[in-house]
Amino acid sequence: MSLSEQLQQQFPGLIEQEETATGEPLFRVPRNQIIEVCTFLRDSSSPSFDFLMDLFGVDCLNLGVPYRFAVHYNLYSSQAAQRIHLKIPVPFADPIVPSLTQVWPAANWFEREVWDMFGIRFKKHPDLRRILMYDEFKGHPLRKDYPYNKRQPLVDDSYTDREIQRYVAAQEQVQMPSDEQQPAATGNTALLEDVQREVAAEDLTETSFLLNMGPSHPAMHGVIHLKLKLDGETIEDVDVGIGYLHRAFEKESEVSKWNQVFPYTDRLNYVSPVINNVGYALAVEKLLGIEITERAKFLRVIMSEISRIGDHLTCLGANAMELGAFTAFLYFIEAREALWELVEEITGARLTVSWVRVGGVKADLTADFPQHCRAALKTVREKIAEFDKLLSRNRIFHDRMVGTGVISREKAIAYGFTGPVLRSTGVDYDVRKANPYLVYDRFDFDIPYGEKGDNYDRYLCRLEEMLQSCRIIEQALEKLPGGALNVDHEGKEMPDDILLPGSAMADRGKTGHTSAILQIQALSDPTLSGGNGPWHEKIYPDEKRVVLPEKEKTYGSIEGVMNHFMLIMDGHGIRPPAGEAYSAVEGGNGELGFYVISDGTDQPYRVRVRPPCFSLMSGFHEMIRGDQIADLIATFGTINMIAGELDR
Amino acid sequence: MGIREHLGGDNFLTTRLDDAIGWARKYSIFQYPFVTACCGMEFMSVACSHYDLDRFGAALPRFSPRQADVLMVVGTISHKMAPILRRVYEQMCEPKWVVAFGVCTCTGGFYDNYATVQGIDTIIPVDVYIPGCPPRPETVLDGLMKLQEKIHHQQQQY
Repeated sequence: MSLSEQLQQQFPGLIEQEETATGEPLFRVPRNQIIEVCTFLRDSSSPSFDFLMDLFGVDCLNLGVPYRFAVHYNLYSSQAAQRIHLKIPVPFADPIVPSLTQVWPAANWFEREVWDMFGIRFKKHPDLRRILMYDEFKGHPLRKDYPYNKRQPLVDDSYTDREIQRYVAAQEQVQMPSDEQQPAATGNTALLEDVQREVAAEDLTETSFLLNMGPSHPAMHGVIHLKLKLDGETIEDVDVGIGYLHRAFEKESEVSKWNQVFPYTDRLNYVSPVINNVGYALAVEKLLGIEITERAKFLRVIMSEISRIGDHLTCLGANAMELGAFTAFLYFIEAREALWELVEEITGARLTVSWVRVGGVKADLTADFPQHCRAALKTVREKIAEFDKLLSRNRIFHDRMVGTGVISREKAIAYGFTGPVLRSTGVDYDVRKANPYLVYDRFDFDIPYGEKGDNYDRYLCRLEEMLQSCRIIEQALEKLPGGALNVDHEGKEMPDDILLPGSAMADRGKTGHTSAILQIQALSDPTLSGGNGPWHEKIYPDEKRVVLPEKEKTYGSIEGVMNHFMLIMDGHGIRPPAGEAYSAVEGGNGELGFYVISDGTDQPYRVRVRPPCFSLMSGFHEMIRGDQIADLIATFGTINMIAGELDR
Repeated sequence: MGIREHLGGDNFLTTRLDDAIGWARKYSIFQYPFVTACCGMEFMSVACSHYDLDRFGAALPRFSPRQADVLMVVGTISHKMAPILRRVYEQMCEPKWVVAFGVCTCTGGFYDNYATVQGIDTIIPVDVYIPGCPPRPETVLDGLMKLQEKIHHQQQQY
């Protein structure tokens, strides 16, 4: 019996199926039934859906639907490798939805985010506070009627002139004000008050006390604020405060064109930017219904895997450094440098590459790339071997990693963990194997997984994944399809001497040699982005509605200029048909999903990221409870929290 | 610094006190890496062996503001983070300098939205701006040398 029939049988007349471009089922559920429907899907349906992957809001103000908001649920069945999307319409007058926290604890943070961003309340939520914005913030920024650049600063800007500051300091010294007269500290007062309140509320006979870690702490990757409740050195509980790097990715996407979102995706998980690029591109391509060329798929795989190795190198290196193994960190950064040079060779940038485009990639491999890549992979393998020798059986490292930060398999699934942290508990879920995208199904590689779900298993998983990524890259380089070097916009192969400098073209025209001049393209300066002859033509599909023409064409032919104009200028651009699509890739930290909604214009209506770190951090207290403070550093390192992705 | 020109006899030299202190200070930078975002990745590269910040006497990170004299603001500062940045700056002892590392700290970069501070110089004074998203290691080293020049030639407090 199909899923839709099962739901109809269980909840007759209540559930409507909506059409989506993606082929993944989307059901509309009345909000008073959501807990029952989700419990049914988790426990009794076939297949059963064990993961709550994502939960997010949409402001439907301009979509022309009778309700103002919608809350989306994205469930995943690891048993059948299948997804299902649920959607609840929420009216503006009464924006209350039952909380799913009792079904999946993963819902806790996601619902807090929806409250923060949209102002939708969740009934019976245990802890409905703001999560990304600060308490003083007024309004809900992802609502369509909140202006994208309306700022609410917490500090004034009177500090710009150092002389004034010195003067003020001198005045204060002269006056010697007593404590009561001192002006209230402009900074961190909310935080301090919070601490004071909690300290005051504590029973004096109680043994536990409160310790703040972060937001600026050397061992916190990025910025995060942990309030630890301690009994001696043992952690009794932790409250994680995030949002210090909230850069409004989702709001920025809504005021950008489809292709302009790429640079913002770079900066989500900024340790592995290409993977984010690919994830977003796949979602938009799904919406457009286009298929990219074979070669472009291989290139995306190669660059994604290089990115993944870089991600794991940074994560493990930093983790080792925080545990005192500084040498190991230096080795890994050296290896990463070799990879970044490869990335630079292809994309022109070291880190924030914006290399993927809707419909293809920006530039093809250089002629020497395979050779350089093999050399770099050799370096990486050597460094990994050295790292392994230094650390894996190192007594200190071993003692600090084994048996710390443990999470059980059931809890990991309930909190929606993915990636190496989930795999360390023994679940072999990896998007590349479970739902292969691009050409991952053509490579021979293994998914390493652990048993105990502790820091050491996570460390080993990441170490092995890097070697597996090396294997994928090598296979991809071998199988890399060629394709015609030189194809014009109608798909016809062109002779080799078709590229001419502009001056030579003009000479031909002047002397009347015009017979084949329409075929000839102007040779442009290699410093122009994408210029350098015919290299990258073979990586674009024949899709003029999305693919930018090469610079040679833009500068060398009227068709090229027109095509460029239609894709770039205001009021034109790529226009996916109205609809919704979800696409997930395996990011450095787990399932990185993009849910894109188009209303048929040249700007995305909504781009939702499913950030793997967000789920991981929402279950952080489960991993750390009962451990020592020192274990927190090791655990934090293996989770590999990336603030750009966590806070967006 | 052309020490020979200043040598008198074989065993002493004359210089201005300001100059001598500036020279000492510029090669003993204790930096506070206020790392928030993507630029941190590039900061790691600069600090590690390949580009080696230590060649400029600036490798030692101090995570206590009271022990640091250069505040390296590396990465986007959101409005939620702004009070913390100012607090850290206020806790540093004079003389102190601030480096805005990356375009987000210089101007807000391409994050022109409700969450982001449009340049940290709206919150704290800045001595050197290093543009780039993120800046290449070479740019960072260049910025650092500019800062050293500034430290050397400014009027010293002591």
